[in-house]
Amino acid sequence: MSNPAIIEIRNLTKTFKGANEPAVDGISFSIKRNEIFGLLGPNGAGKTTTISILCGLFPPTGGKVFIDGKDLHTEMLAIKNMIGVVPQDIALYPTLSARENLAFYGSMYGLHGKELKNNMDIWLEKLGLTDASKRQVSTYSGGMKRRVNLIAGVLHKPSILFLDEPTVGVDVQSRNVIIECLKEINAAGTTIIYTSHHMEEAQNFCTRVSIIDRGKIITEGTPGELIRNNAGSTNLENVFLNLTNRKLRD
Amino acid sequence: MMIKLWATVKKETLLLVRDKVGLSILFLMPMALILVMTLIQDSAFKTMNEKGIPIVFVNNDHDSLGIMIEQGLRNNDLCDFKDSIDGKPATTELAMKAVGEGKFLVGVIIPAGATAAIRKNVTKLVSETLNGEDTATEKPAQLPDSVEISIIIDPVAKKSFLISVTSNLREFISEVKTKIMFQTFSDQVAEVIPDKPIHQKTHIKDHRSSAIQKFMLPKPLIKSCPMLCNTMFRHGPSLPCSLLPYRCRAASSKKKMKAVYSGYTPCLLHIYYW
Ligand SMILES: Nc1ncnc2c1ncn2[C@@H]1O[C@H](COP(=O)(O)OP(=O)(O)O)[C@@H](O)[C@H]1O
Ligand SMILES: [Mg+2]
Repeated sequence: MSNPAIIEIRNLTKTFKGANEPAVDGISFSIKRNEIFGLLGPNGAGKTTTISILCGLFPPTGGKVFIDGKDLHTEMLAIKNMIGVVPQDIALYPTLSARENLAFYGSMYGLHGKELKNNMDIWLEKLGLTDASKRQVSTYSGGMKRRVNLIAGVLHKPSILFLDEPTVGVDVQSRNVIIECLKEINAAGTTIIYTSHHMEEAQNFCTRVSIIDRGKIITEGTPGELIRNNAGSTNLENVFLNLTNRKLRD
Repeated sequence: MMIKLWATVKKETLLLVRDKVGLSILFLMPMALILVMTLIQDSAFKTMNEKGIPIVFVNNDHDSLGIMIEQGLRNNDLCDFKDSIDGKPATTELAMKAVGEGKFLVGVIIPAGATAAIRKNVTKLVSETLNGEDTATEKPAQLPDSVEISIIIDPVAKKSFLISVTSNLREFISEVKTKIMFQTFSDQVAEVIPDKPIHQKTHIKDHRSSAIQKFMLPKPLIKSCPMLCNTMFRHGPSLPCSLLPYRCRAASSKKKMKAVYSGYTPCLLHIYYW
């Protein structure tokens, strides 16, 4: 039996109010269970918009999304508890400590008591934040904030994890820790959908990628396939630049 | 559900407690506001109490009315009286400008010929009454030349302050007008009845007591509460008119006239001139 799709996207479009062009323009793809799927594209390609629709943050203008066989539009509540979200912007309260922030987000996913505390301890330790965990987040470095931001999305052990540029603006050490953690989470059975414009990271991390530009999917496949299919490309970055051309984006 | 609610309450409390600026706005700002307001109000009262209300006075009349109002305002402790602006004698335009600029809180302008107009009216009234004409049928509007005293008030002044100042001034001005009227009246009567024999006094006294009794309040009462008379006659403008002939006939001398009329004149003033 082949691996069934856990996420099915059909002809998804999103046009923001007052915008002339759609931010997401009729994209379709499916993601299989336990994949690490990379949604890659330049700035303004529509990555965040796509992820936000998949998380139920706002409805699409058109198209359908099925998650684990359930229609996102009609069964949002059932879907919500199986997904975790790590947003592009740090979504933490700066005057609360890492622990207080995580306790709040964990509670929002129904965690409490010992379970909440245990999960928090495990993740803070894994991401090297145990010592700083009682300090206010406003005193953290960018990398530390990113790591806490990540924990907030994985604390409740979701079966699908959406990450929107989880490694943007962090040093190599933090990046490596984050990627290692994500691999571990994936190994434990979580499907990961992640966006980035860091091609080297994506090439090493993703099992499959989709390159998106101006709201449309340009190409799709494993990193190896894409490199092979694009003559003269030796890595994903070459492929990316060839396909999205070198012009600057907004 | 309860877990989420509790977590939210806990988070919000922590956020509030740690938000020093928010907390200070929540508790300190009202305190600061009260403090500032108290200081402002205190200083506002101080300036009013110590220096009085700054009043600019423009006397275009240069006759009894203007002079008497000026004297009254000068002697009033509540007023900081000025009849010049920046060294120049106050004119209507200057006064309006100065009040507009906030140099004065109140401006009082007596128009030219105000006293003359009052005299004219009183003269007419007196001659009519002394000739025994029935003035009750004559409407107040038919009397010519009303006197318009302008009061300019700084627009930033509080409404309650404005009302109290105007009503006080109105009362004061009407009092002064009464006095002028009186004088004119008495002079008129003196002219009309130059030398009345002293023996008529008894006769008139009797006449008065029998004829006017039902209209008259005891004299001390009338004198002590002109406001009462005011309200009484304000509601029935024809009443003082019908009273007038009796009164004039009742008086035998200048002095007597004054005494009888002093209690009633404010209402005449209000009805016919103001
Ligand atoms: N809330 C919004 N309202 C209007 N336009 C938006 C909004 N969010 C994003 N866009 C536009 O949609 C396009 C895609 O944005 P986004 O999905 O954030 O790109 P990225 O791939 O960099 O995450 C951009 O042109 C952006 O300007
Ligand atoms: Mg984005």
